[in-house]
Order: sequence, then C-alpha cells, then structure tokens
Amino acid sequence: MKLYHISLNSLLRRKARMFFLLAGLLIAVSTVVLLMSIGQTMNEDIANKLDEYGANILIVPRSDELSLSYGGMAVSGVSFDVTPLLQDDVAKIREIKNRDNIKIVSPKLLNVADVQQKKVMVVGVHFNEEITLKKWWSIIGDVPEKEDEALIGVDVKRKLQLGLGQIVLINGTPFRVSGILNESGSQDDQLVFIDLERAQRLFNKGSEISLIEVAALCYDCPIEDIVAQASDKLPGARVTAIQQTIKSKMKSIHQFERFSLGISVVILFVAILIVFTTMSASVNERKKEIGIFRAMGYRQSHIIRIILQEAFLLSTLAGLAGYFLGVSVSGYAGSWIGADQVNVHIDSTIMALSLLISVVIGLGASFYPAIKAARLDPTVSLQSL
Amino acid sequence: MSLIQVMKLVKTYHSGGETVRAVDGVSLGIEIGEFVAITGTSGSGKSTLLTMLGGLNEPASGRISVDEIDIYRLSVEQRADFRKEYIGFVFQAFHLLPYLNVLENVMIPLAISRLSAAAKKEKAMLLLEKVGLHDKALRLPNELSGGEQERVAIARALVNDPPIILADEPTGNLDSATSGIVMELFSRLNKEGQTVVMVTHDEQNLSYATRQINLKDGRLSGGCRVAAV
Repeated sequence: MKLYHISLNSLLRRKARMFFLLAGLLIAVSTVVLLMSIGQTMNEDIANKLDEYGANILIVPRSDELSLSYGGMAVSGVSFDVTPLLQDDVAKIREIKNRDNIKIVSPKLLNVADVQQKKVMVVGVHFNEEITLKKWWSIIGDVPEKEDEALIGVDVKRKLQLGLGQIVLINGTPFRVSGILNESGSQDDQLVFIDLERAQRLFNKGSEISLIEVAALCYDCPIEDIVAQASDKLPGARVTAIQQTIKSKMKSIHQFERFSLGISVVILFVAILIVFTTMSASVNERKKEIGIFRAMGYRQSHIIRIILQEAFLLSTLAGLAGYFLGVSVSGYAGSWIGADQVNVHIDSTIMALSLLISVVIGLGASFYPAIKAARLDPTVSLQSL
Repeated sequence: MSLIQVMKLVKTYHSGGETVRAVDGVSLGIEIGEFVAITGTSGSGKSTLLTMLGGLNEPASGRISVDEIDIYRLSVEQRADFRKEYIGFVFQAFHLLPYLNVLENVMIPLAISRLSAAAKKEKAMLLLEKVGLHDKALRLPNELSGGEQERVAIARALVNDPPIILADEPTGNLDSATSGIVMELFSRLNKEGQTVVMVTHDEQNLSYATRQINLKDGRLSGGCRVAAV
C-alpha cells in the first residue's frame, strides 16, 4: 500500500464530490478545446477557400512611368519601355520558401487591340488557372478550349453587338466567341480574353507577360513574408499584396481568437474556483481523517501529497476526457459556424495542452487547501475523535 | 531512566477570557512493560495528557522525554517521525477509514514506510491473525462489529512495532462482553512486553492495568494502585 492508494480510494469513496469536481474541470477543458478547435478550423477553412477570394498578390514589371489600370490595381505601362516579365518568371514564383502556400499562379498579357475597328483591351490568360482564380465568373457558353476562341465581357458584347459563336477580328485575326461573361461589375466586363500563348504571338510579344496574379495564403505567417520572398526571386518586378479581402477575413478570425481567449480565461478562472472550493470543503470534511494520519506519524508533506495526488488523478482524467469531448463537439460546431471542411482529428499538441491546463488548474487550486490540511493542528482534528 | 519521563507538565487553554490549566504540573515516569491506566473525571485532563505523551499536543511548560528524546524540542516533522517509530494510538471511536478494507486500514501506517508491498501485507496479516480477524481482512469496517473494529484499530496501532501503545477510552463504545475481549487483548500484548498507557472511565478495566494514575483538575491525585500482574 502506498499513499496514492489512499488518494485513489478516497476519491472513489466520495463519488458525488469527485463527480462535481470532475464535471467542473471537464466542462472547462472541453470548452477551451472547442474554442481552440473552432479557431483552427476557421483558419484551415480560409486556407481551403482561398481561391474563392481571388488573387492576393500582384506581380508587375518595375517601372517609374505612369501605369495603366487593371482591376482597380496599378499595372505598369503596357506600352511603356520597361523590362517586361517573362514566362520563366512564373516558374520562379513556385521556388520561394513558402511555395506550399501558393495555390494559384496566373500570368497575363495585356494589350490594346483593334477589335471590330474599336480599341479594346485584350488579355491573354491560361483559362484553367483563370477560372480557378475567379470563382465568381459566370459564363454563358463555354470557356475557350482552342487557341482561336475568345471569351468576351458583357460590355464588349453590347458595344460590338457580338453573340455566341460569332467570329470577331482582333488585329485582323479571326477568333470565335465561345463564351460571354455575365455582368460582374468589374473591369472584366470590358475585356476580351484569349489564350496567353496565342496573344503573345498575335502581339509579337515573345514570352513576355504583363503581370502575374498569385493566390497565396499563409494563415500562420504574414503575407508580407511571401511578398518579400517573391521580390527576392524577381528583382526586376514589383510585388504587392492585395490584402483587403484576406485581411478582413483574417481580422474576423483574430477577433474570434481574442474572444475565445477571453472566454477561456473566464471559464478557467471559474474552474479554479470550483476546484478550490471543492478541495477546501473536502479538507474540512476530512479533518478527523487527517488527524488520524498525523497521529500515525504522517508528516505534513505526506498529507499534502495525498491531497495533491487526488487533484492530479482527477485533473488528468478531466483533461483527457475534456479534450475528447471538446474535439467531438467541435465536429458539430464547425459545421454550425459554416466551415465546409471540419477536420476532426487528434491533435497531440492540443491534447497535451488540455492535459497541462487541467493538471495546472487541479494542482494549483488544490495547493492552498493541501497546505491548510497539512497545517491542521492534530489535537484540534482529534478533539472530535 | 524511565521509558516515558514527564516533568512538571503544564497545558493551558483559553476559554471565555479565562486561562484553564488542563494539565497542571504533572510529573511521572512510566517504565518499559508497564500497563498504566489514567483515570479521572470528565475534564480532569487525562485525554490531554495522553495526546501530549503522544507528541500531538505541545505543553505550555514542562518536558516529556521518551527513550531519552525530549519530544517537544523536535520539529513538527521530526515529531511525526517520532510518533511513527514510538507510538501506536487507539481511539475510542475506532476511526477506521471507511473506504479501505480491514487489511488496508491496518496497513495505513505502513503506506509511508519503505517496506515492499509483500512485506507490508505479510506484517498486517500477522497482526490480524494476532487479534483474531485474519479471516475478515477484505471486509469493509462497516461490515464488522464494534469489538472487531476496535481490534482492527489495535492491529493498526501495532503494525509499526511501536514500543508504546496509547489508548484513549478503548472500550468506551463497547458493551461489557466485548470490552472484556478487547481488554484481554491489551493484557496479552502487555504480557508480551508491550508498554500500554490507557485512559479509561471503566472500573472493570483497571484490573488489567499494572498501575493506575488518577488525575483531578489536571493534577495527580491520590496514590498509585499497582495491580497484581
């Protein structure tokens, strides 16, 4: 028989008190785990949905000249004398340190062309990437699959009175209109999109590109890091972050995280009070028992060990149970907050953290009652014997 | 030199603004192998004296030496070690822990010793055999009669092989027949060389003691009766 034997049997004997204390710690730990899991799910969700927010990094040739505008963003002069970006630069972006965070790289060539005797901005793109990047595009007809097909904005359709399947002349070269973009309210409505390589040949641009749009997200590191890494790889280019969309989303996540932290602190404080009150009441109830131990030669440190071992056993159990309860509930909570993918998985770090929180609360809040028990005057405890 | 030497022992309490001398200048000596009965009316200070002999109750003045150790010059933790080594307490209300079985209750003092689990169990079982309860080792205390519970408490007091047993009204909660069994046990232990100091009200118990010490208002009163051993 060892001291822990006494602690364990004492706990089993006082089932109601043990249940109350266990429930208090379990609810606290599971709530904290739930809030942490939701925060993590939200972060993972935003990473998974990144392409829905479009590009968040824009790479254009470095230039001191005036810029044309594209998508509300400054684009270095299309017709000015600048060192252009080349097709090879696209591959370089995939070589940066945070390359795993890059979801889409979409190079573009912009050129003003004569379309049905009117000046129209023609954009050369890789359609598969463009479609992935611009989830909000709604297309009547088909996305161009052949080099001689074009996708036109709704304003172009109206002004040039074009329709699906019609042939349109761009700088005298015929293209078939395979699709028309529904009104998006963006500059895309006034553009004509054709295949990037076809555009380079049409405008005699070799492997030049005007800009590269990148969709990237590193939710646990700043977007500025990715921008800096891309700038290092492309010294002749200007890399800027379009941060509004992601930033506002991330801001709301950070707000939730701060809110969670606040709630967690309050809940853990309540748990500390529950453990402290329960253990203090338990010590008062066990004065006689403590008196007997002291009469039999138990040192004060033995009494402290008995009380703290009880707290340790309970808090370890509560920490583990609280973790699994929190993770289970977070599966439902994740879908409730609208996350598409809720990954309910065992995270050893969070598990260790919940155990640590529970044990620290259990032992910390029991320490004073344990000291109080050890310092009980044996004769006072024994008076009632 | 006596096993227990008490010198001018004083214990005071403060009650309602007054200082009460629960033990008032008691001096006595108890030899190895004695069976001493401390008697006196309620409030005479006999239980206070017993707890003081056991190192649980610090005197206002005076000195208690056990085996030439001045026990109240020891630190609180050293005094706990002293109790573990020298004293076995038996209480009136048994005070077994209800959540431990008979065997485990006897082993409580051994939970802080370095003996192996097997040695602890063997020692406790031997004592249960001695008090005639080895067949009830796995019962819970509430499954035993009062006399049986008291015998478990005695086994528990003996498990550390202490040279001194301090018993406070050990038959106070027992009927006369059961009291006789318990007192026979104390007597048998004493005959085997165990020093026993017992507080009692019961006249019948005095016949088992080798010496009677009577307290009145915290002082030794009258002579000491020595029974035939």
